[in-house]
Amino acid sequence: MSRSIQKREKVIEMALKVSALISILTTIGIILVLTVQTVSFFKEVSIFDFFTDTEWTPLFAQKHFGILPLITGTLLVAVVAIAFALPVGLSIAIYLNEYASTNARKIIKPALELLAAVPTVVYGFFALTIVTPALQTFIPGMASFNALSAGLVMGIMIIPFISSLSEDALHAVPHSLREAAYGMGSTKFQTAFKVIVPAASSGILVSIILAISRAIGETMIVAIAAGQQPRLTLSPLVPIETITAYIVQVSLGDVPHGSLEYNTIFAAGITLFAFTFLLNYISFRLKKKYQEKYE
Amino acid sequence: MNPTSILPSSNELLLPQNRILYSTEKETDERPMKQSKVPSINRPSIHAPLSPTGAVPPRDKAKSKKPIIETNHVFVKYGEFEAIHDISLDIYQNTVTALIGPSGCGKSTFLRLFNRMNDYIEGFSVTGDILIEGKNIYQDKIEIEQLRKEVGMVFQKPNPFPKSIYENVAYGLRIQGIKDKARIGQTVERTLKNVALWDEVKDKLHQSALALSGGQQQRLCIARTLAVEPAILLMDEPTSALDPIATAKIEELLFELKKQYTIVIVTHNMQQAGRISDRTAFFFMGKLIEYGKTKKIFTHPEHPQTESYITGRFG
Repeated sequence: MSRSIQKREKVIEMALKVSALISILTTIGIILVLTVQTVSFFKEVSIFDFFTDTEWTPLFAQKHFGILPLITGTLLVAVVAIAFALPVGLSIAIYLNEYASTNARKIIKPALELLAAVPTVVYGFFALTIVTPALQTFIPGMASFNALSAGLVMGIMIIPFISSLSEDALHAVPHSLREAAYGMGSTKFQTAFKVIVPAASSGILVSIILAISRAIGETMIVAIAAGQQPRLTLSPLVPIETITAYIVQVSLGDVPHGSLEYNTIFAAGITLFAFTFLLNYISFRLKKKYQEKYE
Repeated sequence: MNPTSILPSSNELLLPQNRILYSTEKETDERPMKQSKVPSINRPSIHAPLSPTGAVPPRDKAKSKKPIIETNHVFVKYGEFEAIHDISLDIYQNTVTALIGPSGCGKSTFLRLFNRMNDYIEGFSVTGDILIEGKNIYQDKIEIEQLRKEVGMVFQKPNPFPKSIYENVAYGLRIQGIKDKARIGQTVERTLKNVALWDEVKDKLHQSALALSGGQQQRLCIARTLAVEPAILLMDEPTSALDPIATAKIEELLFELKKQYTIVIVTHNMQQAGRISDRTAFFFMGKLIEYGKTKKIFTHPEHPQTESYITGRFG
C-alpha cells in the first residue's frame, strides 16, 4: 500500500522534472544550433567585417556582411517605441497607483491588458495603413515604410509592459514613505514625483529594460511597416530593416538552406539573442536589488 | 479655575514665538465653550487646584494656561466602527503629553487627528471640534499641507526616504520651493545637531540614510520633521522599534525638544510615559478615561481602570 503510494509519488516527481528539463533542453538546443551555424558562417566571413562593415547586402551579387545597419535599424525603432511608451506608460502607472479611484482602476487595467492581447500582425497593419498615412500629412516626404510609425505603434504595444511593471514597482514602495511625505506637508504631486517615483526607480528601470528587450525582439510590426532596406541611418523617416525583419525576409524567401546567405540569419539571430539576453540579465539583477531594499 | 476664562484675549499668549498658524478671523470669544456636562471623571485634574495649598508654581501656571490644541466632543468613526467616543481634552504648549492605553483604544487615531493623517483611511469620519491655535482644522477652510508643516509627525517605524542623509533633511525645504543652498545647509546642520546626530553623520551626509542604524534613522526622521519648523510634534510610538539605548537617546532628546515644541506622544511603554511626559491621557475602548499631570496619574489615579492599566493588571 504505502509502497504503491511511494511509487506514484516518484512517477509524478519524474514527470514534473521532465517538464522542467524540456524547457531547459530547448534553450540549450537553440543556443547550440545558433552557435554551430554561426561558427560555420564566420568560417567564410570575417568577424571583423561583420561588426565594422556598414553595408548589409548578403542577398545581392556584391555581398557585404556588416551587421551595423541592422543593429541601428533595430535600435532606432526601439528608441522611438520607448520614447513614446515610457512617458505614457509611467504616467498611467502613477495615475493608477496614486490618483485613480477603485472604479477607474477597474476599467483602465483590463483595457491596458487588452492592448497587450492585440496580435502584433494587427499592429503592423495599423502602422502601415493608418499611422503612416496620417503622419505623412504632417511630414511630407516621409516614406511609406519607416521606423517612425513602426516605432510609435510598437510603443503602443509595449505601454502595458511599462505601466504594469512600473505600477508593481510603485506599489511595492512601503506605505510608511507615503505617510512620511504627506506628514511633512507634501502635496499629492510632490509625494508621487519626489518620493514614490524615486523610491521605485530601480523597479521602473527594470520595466524599461524589459520593454526595450521586447521592442528589439518584436518582429511582425517592423516586418510589415518599417521596410526591408538595411540602411545605416538615424532618420526615422526612411525605410530601414531590423534584425528580426531580416530573419523573416530570408526564412520566408527562396534562399537555399545551408548556403552562406541562409547562414546569415543565424549570425543575425545570435546577435539579437546576445542583446536580449544581456538586457534580461541586467533587469534580473536590478530586480533582485530592489526587492532586497525594502525587506 | 474655569478653563474658559483663560481663552479670551489669549492670542498673544498663543504666539510667543511669533508663530502665526492661521489667521484667526473669528473672535476668540466665539469659540465653542467647554460644556460642563462632560463627566468630571473624564477631565478630573487639569483644572483642579494643583497642590493642596492651592499655590501653583508660576511656570506651571503659565504653561497650563496655553492650550495649543483643544478638542471638544470628538467622535471618530471608521465606517460603522466607533474608534473615538466623545473625547474632550486640551494639550498645552511646551509640554510633553503622553497618550496611553491598550492596543485599539483609539490613542493613535486621536493623535493622527491633529495632522489629518486619518483622512486617507476609508470610511473615516470625525465630528466635534479640533482646534489648533484656535483654528478648527476640520471645519474651516484650511490648507492641509500648511497644517502638516505646523504639526509634524514622527512614526512608529523609522521611515527615512531612500535618499542621502542630507536630502532627507532638506526634503521639507525643497518641497516648499526653497533653493538657497546656504540656507538648506544651515538647516541640515542645525536640525541634525538638535537631534544629536550631527557628530555621528557629519562626514557621511551624502550617503544613503538607509545605511544608518534604526535609532539613528529615527533621530534623522525627527530632524527631517524639525527642518520644516513645526510648532507641534506628534510621535506615534517613536521608540517601539528601537533598542533600549536608542530609546534612551530619543527620550533624552524629547526633554530638549519640549523647550521649543509641543510634543504629543503615543506610547505603549508605561515607564516611558512616566519618565518623559508632563501630562498623561489614558484611553480605553475609544474613551478618555483619565487625563492629568503624569505624576498624579501614576501615583493617585482617580479611576480604577487607570490604576489597573498602569500597574500592569491588563493591557
